[in-house]
Amino acid sequence: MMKNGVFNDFAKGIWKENPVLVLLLGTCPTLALTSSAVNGFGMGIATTCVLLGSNFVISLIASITPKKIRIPVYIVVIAAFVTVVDLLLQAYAPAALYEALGIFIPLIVVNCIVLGRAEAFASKNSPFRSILDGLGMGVGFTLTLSMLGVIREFLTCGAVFGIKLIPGWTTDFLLPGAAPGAFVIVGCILAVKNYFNRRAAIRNHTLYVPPRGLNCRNCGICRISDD
Amino acid sequence: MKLRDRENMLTLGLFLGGTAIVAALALALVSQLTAEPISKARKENRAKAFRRLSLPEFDQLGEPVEVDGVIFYPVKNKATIVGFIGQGSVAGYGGEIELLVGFKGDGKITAVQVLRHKETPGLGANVCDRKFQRTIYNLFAKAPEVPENRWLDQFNSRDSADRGKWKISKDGGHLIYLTGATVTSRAIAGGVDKICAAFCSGILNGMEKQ
Repeated sequence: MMKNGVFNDFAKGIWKENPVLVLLLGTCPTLALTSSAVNGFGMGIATTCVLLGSNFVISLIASITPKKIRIPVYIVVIAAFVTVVDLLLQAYAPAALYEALGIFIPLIVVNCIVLGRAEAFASKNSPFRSILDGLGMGVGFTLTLSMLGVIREFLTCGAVFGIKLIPGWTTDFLLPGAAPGAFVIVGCILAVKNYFNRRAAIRNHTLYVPPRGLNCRNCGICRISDD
Repeated sequence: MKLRDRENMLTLGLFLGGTAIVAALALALVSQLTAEPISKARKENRAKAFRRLSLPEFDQLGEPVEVDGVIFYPVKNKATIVGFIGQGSVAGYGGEIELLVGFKGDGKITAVQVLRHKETPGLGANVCDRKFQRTIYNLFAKAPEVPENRWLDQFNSRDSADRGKWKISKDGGHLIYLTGATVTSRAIAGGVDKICAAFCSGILNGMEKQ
């Protein structure tokens, strides 16, 4: 049972609660930075490092942080880790990668995935589980970004990770490399994922069918009609 | 009362301030540790860009001189000047394009490099980047020191004095340009022209007077 719990903390970020495809968080770097596989992978790794650090520290200090100022405290912790990652990238990453990730590294501070995990998971769980959660979310994010990068780079110029698989492809096809094309491709991937989720739900008899006439007026869950 | 439930302003302020101080101290430490590798990496990048200008062999850079907004570094080999590097910027399609132009002592251009740009990937970026294209056929081949780029290479070994004709063919000049990236091609032609103008008026004239 315990072992299952540990594994679940890690694995849920990869498929069941994938930050990009299920939680739909961090869409800005997802669309802006996946024009090539290398960029997507680099951004994923950078975000994973920040997630690991911030989840660990926040789970340690959550019990003594006054509730009223927890968000600013979390942001300070996250910003510190982002700056560390930024400095390390400047020092040790290839110059081309740092140029490409450029302004998106500082923007990890306001990436919803990082603050979302801090607030929803790390502040309520042990440091060990929080690290696993951060690692799982980070790996899920990296895998999704790399996959998007591979698809977009291939559709743009027939190359993957900078290696041309179709040498005759000389003129770039611009749509998949630009942000609008990224929207289209993310949409297609979401549709495929939803199709498989729906089939699995039908097979397990857990498909949710909304009752007839369900609307905000008679739902009552969020009590909009009370106001 | 637990710290977690405190609400008075002083405690909250002190806690947030304390967090910020701890974070600042940690950052100061990391900044100290990475300062040396970062400056080393920057120097290496610049040295790499300078090497790619295929200048005559040199062992040191002289004091930079600024002429009309272009910075010139004299390139010295055993204390004699063998060439110059001009560094200037020009407005491209997506922002500033920073250009490096290498000159031999007689005023011939050795090569043109783009140091930084924000042009559209796939269009303007192709004009600016010198990238060795790996395919499945040359997967393990060694990348050349200066990968070719037909839009930048057309300035090679031209004389900086005959710059009047430096326009892309769309504007009545001789330079080829990339369809779809006219603005970038035009900006680079204009930028090289500007750097050459500064080189002719400021550096070559000054050397003749001496």
